[in-house]
Amino acid sequence: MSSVTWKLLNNPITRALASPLSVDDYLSQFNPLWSVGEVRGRIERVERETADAVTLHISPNSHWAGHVAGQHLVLGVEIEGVRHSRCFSISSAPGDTGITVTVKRNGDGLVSNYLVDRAQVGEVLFLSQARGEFLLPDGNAPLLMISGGSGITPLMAMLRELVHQGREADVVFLHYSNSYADTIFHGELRALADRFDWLNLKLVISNGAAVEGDHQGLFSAEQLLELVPDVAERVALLCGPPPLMDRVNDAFIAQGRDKPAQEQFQVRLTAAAGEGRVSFSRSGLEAAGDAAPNLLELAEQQGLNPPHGCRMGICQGCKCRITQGQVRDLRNGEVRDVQDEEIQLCVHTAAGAVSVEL
Amino acid sequence: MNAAVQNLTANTTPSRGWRHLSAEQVEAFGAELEAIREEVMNSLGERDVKYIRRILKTQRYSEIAGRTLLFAGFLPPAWIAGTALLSLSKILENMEIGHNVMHGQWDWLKDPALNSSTYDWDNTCPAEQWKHSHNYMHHTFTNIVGKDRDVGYGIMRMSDDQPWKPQYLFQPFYNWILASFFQWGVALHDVEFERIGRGKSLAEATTQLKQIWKKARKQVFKDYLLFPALAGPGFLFTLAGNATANLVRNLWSYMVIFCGHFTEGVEMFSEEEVKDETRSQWYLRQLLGSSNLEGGRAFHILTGHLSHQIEHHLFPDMPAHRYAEIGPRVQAICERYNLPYNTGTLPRQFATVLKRINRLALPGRRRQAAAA
Repeated sequence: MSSVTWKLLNNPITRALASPLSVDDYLSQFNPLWSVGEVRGRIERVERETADAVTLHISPNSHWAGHVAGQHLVLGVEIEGVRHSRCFSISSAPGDTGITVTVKRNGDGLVSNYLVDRAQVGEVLFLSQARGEFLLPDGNAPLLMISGGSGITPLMAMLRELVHQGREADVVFLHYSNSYADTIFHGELRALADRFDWLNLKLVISNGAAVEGDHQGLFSAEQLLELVPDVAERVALLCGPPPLMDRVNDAFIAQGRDKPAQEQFQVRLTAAAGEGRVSFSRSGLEAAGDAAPNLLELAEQQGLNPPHGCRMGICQGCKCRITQGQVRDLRNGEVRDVQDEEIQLCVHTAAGAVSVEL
Repeated sequence: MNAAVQNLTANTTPSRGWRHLSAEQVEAFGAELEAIREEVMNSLGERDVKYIRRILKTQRYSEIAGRTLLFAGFLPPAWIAGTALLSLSKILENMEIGHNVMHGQWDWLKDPALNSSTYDWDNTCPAEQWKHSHNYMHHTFTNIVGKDRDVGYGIMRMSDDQPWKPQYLFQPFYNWILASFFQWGVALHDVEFERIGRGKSLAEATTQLKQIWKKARKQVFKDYLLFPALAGPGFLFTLAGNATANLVRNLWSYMVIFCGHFTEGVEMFSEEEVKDETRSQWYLRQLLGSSNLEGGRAFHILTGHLSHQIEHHLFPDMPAHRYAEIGPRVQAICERYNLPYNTGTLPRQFATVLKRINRLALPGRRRQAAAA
């Protein structure tokens, strides 16, 4: 249905008629895609990329406001009736029909395993709007895109966007993968590199022999200089697993350069235990700060159910107001005092007495 | 109550059916219940999701159908069918959906539409106040005179531990007013009018009353103005249908809830008795303070499974449709420990509730304070 229909269905009168339930509570009984404001999408096609990765082609409802290449979204999926939400980069370009999300199996991860093995055409997903600041830089500076494993997804969206725009940006696309069989978008990368002179593809494989023109090994500062001699003149963009990102960042810093623009899709958190007492002001509950690895899990342990998404500090879905207290940011270990400030519960722990508005 | 329990209690104290148990036995009894809880909570899955989704669908569809039929309310069959469907929908929404969702029974679905912290029900009582007076006060301090406000809702004498006042002479009469306006009684009972000026400030009560009105006016506006106005010339038919549906839901929920704790044989407790209570003793008090209703599957659903009041009080956050399954196991445990398991049909149980209301309208104690 069009956005006009939704506007007609969402006004003070319809809301009063549905009260205290919401208009959506009724609409969703007829079609799970129907909502007066929430983005939902239907899986139209499941495309197998590798043994451990699939691309989901999703048609979002009319509330989808579009995205910019490089952005991600929070995707909620019902597995055995229970909703689980995770962040995924959007792998399609803005001009494509619908959106695609490319998911690689992430160890024992419930959601990634479900999407890779069991996602079905017709399934309805609960989506957020696109968000994220990892975008193509303005201007015509030559680019260096460095990715590893499934970290290729936001960079692939950017590459596709460059193709759409007909922008003959000078791009070196440096991708690290375990093996050819594990390389997501392998065929498309080769085809694009054959077709466009401006795209210089450098595939590096860590397991097995590399075919001619490709390379073998892991990222190193020396290899970077060897593969990309003009690295100093390029604007770098980076996305991959934490070990690769660490090595790339270190190499850039060692060369006296700024770290590349980057998107983390796995966050490494310090395991500092919480301290002090945490009080949940609305429910009147209290707990010891060290009883759970972060404030989100602490709240859940108390039987509270704060809204949340990725549980790794990306999506902002668990942002919650702290009346007052001392918290530790688990991403960098820093302790700070907060007062009437919203923080992401999933990547913070108490570093003293904290009062959370839950 | 079986004969063995009667003998045991008669030999010890006539007023309590559990004093034959040693402290260790009480702990063992609690552990057995805990094991049932553990087992059920670990087995929650798709079957439960299908159940609640079907209930939601039934409730939404019956509401839409009922309200639509009431637009043709000038035709008597349409008015009767519309009012019946709307009553059904209001009962399902308050009992099997609202009450149970707000207990957190469905929080594990992580569905924002079924989340205890955000759900609000079609009842004049605001969800926040309900979660305090019901989930916290009533379920923690069940049947403790002076603490659990469900004991008489602050206006009735339901236990002989409550001192008699002349106003109680009229309770057999105003009991029916409470029944007819039950959702308003529920809405107001957290205000604790009788405590104003005695431990509760007027300002606090005023704030609560404002919250109640903010919530209640939505239902008043919707049921008594907006839907009737949309019916145009059928204004009065829709108004009457909506009022009747609210009344039916009030009477039904009143009856079910009063049968949960005020039937014959249900125990009341004093604050003294529950000092330093263990979890197992809490289980025991929940059992002794609750009573069940017998009936078919549809009956249980319409009561929001509060017909399994005992199981609900033992496991308030367990999805309620599981109570029917564990009921026989709970009853078997009670038999082994010679504990009462209070159950009966609705007419029988409700008759004993009315008996209690009538008896306690008069001064004096129902039984001798033998325990003292």
